[in-house]
Amino acid sequence: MAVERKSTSATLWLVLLVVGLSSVLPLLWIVMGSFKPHKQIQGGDVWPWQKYGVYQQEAAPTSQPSTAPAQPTAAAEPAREPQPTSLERLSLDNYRRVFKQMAGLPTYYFNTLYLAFAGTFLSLLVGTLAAYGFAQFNFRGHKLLFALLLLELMIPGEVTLIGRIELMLQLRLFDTLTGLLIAYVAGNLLLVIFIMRNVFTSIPREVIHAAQIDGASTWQVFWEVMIPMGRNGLAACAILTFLAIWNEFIFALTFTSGDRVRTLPVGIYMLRDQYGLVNSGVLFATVLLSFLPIVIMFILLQRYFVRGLASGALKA
Amino acid sequence: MSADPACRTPRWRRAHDRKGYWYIMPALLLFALMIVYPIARAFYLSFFDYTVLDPGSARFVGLDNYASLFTMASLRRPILNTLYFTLLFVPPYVFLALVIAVLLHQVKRGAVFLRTMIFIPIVVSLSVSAVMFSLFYNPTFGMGHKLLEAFVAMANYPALAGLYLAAGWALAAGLHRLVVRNRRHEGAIWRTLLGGAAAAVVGWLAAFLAGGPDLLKAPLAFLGNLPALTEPVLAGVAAPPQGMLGNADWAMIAVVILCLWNGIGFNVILFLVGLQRIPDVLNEAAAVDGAGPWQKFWKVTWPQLRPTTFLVLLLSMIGALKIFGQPFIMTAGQPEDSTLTYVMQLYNLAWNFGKFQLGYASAMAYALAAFTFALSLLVRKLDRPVE
Repeated sequence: MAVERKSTSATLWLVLLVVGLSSVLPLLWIVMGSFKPHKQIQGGDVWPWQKYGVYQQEAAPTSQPSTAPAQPTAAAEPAREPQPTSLERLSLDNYRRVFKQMAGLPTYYFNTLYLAFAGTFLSLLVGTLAAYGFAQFNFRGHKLLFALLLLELMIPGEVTLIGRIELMLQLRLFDTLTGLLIAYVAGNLLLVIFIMRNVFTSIPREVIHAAQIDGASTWQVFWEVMIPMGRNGLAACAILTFLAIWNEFIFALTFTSGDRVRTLPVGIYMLRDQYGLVNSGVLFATVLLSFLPIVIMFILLQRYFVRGLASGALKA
Repeated sequence: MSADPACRTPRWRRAHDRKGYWYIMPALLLFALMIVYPIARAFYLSFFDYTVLDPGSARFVGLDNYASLFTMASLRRPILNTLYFTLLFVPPYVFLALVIAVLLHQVKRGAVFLRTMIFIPIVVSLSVSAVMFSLFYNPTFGMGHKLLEAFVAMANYPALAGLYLAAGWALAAGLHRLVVRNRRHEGAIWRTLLGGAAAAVVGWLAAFLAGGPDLLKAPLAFLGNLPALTEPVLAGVAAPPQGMLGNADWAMIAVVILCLWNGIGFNVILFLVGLQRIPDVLNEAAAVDGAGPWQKFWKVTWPQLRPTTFLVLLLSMIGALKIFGQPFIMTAGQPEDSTLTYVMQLYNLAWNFGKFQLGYASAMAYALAAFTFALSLLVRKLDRPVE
């Protein structure tokens, strides 16, 4: 039995390692490239063990299947001066340039952080209040209203895009962070309501009754019983909302036109076109900077992320 | 409330319930403003020939916008592209995720490490990953392009692929004899073969990273004495010199690969949740009855996972039909409109072409909504017999 498990897990490990490697490799490639100057990247030299200029030399023959395979290093070496190895060329130059040249980047960061934090907070606040209302009170029409919310989840966001463009223009919220914030809160609200309503209804009635007998008002029940008991659900919602806002692209693209209110996802898309061909090293560094914080956060909080994503998707 | 035997709700109860309005009020206001109004407005506009530039000229056209969805030539390509994308994307997106989840579910040691690796791409945002992959596919320096060259080489020279596979198998078989003394053990050989293939892939990747496609093709020199093995089989297939994104045949495949990379972990999570819900009793009972891993999967795991699979399938299909951001960033629909999708065309008409044809775009959005809605009804109907 023990033997079986060993060989099984070794196989599984190898198979899953392939999957894991292919998940991580593109990111690692960006990490390595971000320390290299433009020319070296263009030459195909990104990994520390590669020699500068190999791909530059071999670029032409490799695209056609040749019957006489080349010996890349041997062919390339005599033609040129000995190049310094990649490790010697590791530099933080790209990062220095990112902060010097791309004045926009800190703004994008700030905007995205502001929207993600404020949006998460507001969605949770408004959403949990509503979830509490739906879970605890049998006011007239609560079933109908809830069904309405449910119906909305079926309609793709693209439908709201057009109406919102007009709305933003009319309310003079176009090209402002506030406009985006309102759109994000509204967009993530429903999911929070659904998840939190389920969480709240699963809290045993006895606990709530006990609080009511002790003379707690509805607000006190909400704040002192429901919120503490729904901690896990709240954390899941917070992560879900944060991630959704941090990554949001279409609305941020449509509702903004100025550099001042641009978010990171839109900013990086614009920067690609500005810098892509001029300096790929700087672009590598920018890409790295825009995924690094969230990836680190994910690695640290992996468990909560997974739980949040799972609960969010299953309720949708 | 079912516990309350009295038919009439007492007055204090009604007063209490009425307080609920206050709690849902902020959400309701926001909902009305940002969701109900835009949805209703879009519905209204979908019957008009309307542009933001000149609201006065709005003209009621009835169902013309909807009718022209079927006739407009500018929509044929986007619709076909979107269906093509869905067809390419959804099967691997769902079933690869299922396989990964089932495997991941069985791993005991180091599961957190593997899981973290596999899930990392989920948190990389759509636009960052799209920008990243457009670097990745770059024909002069992109790793993805080099990978494609290497893959094409493998496809062209099966002898080469066979060589790597054989090396992996030999390695695995050697290890197998070292590790597994009990040769009678059932099914072990399959695992060894699978492990060998995986080892071959890992080794292949390592060789690729060390020396690129050239190193991978180096063994051809040793096979040179056997011309039958070194003739390219698919001489016509080659990595496009302008890169995957610059080639109309490859661009959509490139988009699919990006979407798979970025999103598959999400489906894996859904399947893992589904797997965790399967009661252990069932697996134990199957084990007592002498079921092998294969039987266990088909007789226990698969039927229990069916609802999850349908849900994942539905979510994936809806997501695929709405594909916009990735092709928009990577190719903007080019080359030759090969990656122009339905929602991208909608966006272009509503916003990008400077025409702001909101009426027509609204009709497009509603047609998509109706289609996805019908799809979800259909999937739900298919799902029913199990439950």
